[in-house]
Amino acid sequence: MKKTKRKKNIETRKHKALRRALICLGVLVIFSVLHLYTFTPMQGVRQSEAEAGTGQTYLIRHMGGEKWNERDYMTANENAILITRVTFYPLLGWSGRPFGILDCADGGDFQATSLVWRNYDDKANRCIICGRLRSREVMGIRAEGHWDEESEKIRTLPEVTISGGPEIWTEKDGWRYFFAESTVPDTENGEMAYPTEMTVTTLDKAGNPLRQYKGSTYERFIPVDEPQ
Amino acid sequence: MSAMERQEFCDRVLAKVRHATPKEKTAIRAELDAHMEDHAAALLEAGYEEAEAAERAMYAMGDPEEIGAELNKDYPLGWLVLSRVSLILTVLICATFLFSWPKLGNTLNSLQARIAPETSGFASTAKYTYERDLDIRAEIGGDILRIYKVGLDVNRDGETGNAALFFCNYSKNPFGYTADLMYLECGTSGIMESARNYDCGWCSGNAGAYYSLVAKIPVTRTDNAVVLTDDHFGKYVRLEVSVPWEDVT
Repeated sequence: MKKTKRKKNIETRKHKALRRALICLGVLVIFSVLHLYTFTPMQGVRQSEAEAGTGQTYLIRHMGGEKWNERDYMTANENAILITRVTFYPLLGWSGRPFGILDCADGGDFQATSLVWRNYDDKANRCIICGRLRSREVMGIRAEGHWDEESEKIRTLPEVTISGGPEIWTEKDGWRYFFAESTVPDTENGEMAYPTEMTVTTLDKAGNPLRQYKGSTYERFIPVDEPQ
Repeated sequence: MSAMERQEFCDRVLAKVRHATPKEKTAIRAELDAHMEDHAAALLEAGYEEAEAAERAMYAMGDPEEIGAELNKDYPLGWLVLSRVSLILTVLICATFLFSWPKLGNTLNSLQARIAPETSGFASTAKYTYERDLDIRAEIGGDILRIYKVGLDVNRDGETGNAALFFCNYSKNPFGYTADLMYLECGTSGIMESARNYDCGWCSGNAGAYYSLVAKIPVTRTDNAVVLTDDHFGKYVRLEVSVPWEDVT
């Protein structure tokens, strides 16, 4: 039988491009599923969620970090608020670590905590208050940091004051989320300084205090017995 | 037609094909040359002189600028960009595997925690006088908490002792990350404390699975079980582990 030569199909530019794009997509999917590379900052947030055990959270706001390859994300769900620091490493992608975790399962109309982050480049600490509340009357937040009175080393340090106006708020699902911060430099002899306890006062539109809360750093704020 | 004229013809065609790569231009030139040679050969067989056959073959091709403009439609820039970007991305992503392949160890660790946790290199090797292998598992959110062994050391009085729980946690998704901040409480007879308050004699692992040992849990003969609970983020889990007093001689 005479063999007929089959005409070789010449691959067009379009076919070649589509083939390469499909391969690229396949590699992207495989690397994502196996967590070999995190391509987006939100994948870093998912990593942080898994490590913190909060379950899936939803984006409230994101903030630029101290460096070009850093971002901070505030996410939340019904039972938790999570602050994640996401850092980009060229060889590994966006890596997320939980820096603030607040268990909100107990409920309450005011759910907040304070965090302290070290800024090694500036030799200072970032003192942060963050959380959520339901009250529409609250228009501002004032937080004051207190030091461990028993420690001679930090007794003379200044108070930390954080004041937040309308720019600190984000609204979602009936909650009003806030994230405000202040910077505390190291002491003159290079010792790190950070408050061990914070007092938070919510303020109305006129700046009058509404209610006061207290809490240790990284713990949930609880109402002070007598509201002001 | 001399080779120079044929080359000039091809140059005028290729001048209009703006987005062809050098390799593609070489292929186009070869194809044009082949067309003109075939036509010239046919004319030679028909009885034309060589020079006239070559010239007629070239003119029969048509206007080189028009040919080039038509060919240019077959080489759009967009597909070229997509092709090269896809190739570069694929190479770069695959290159990162040189640095990220250890992460596959997380998956292996997760699988080992499911199948044989006691054989993991992350598991505690602490020994107790009385030990009992267990397989108690509970879901905590996206993770599984697995208690795989209980140990007991008995004091000289024979009525009191210290119990220990060997457990691990791993993600339901073998490729996922597990929590490294489990908020466990442990105790007996209704007195619960954070597991970290006990002698957390061991805690090791990676994002695939973490292994822990909570040791020196004081127990008495009346304590039939050690209780382990997790009550955070709206999830509540309670596990009871029998203390192996019946094994004590």
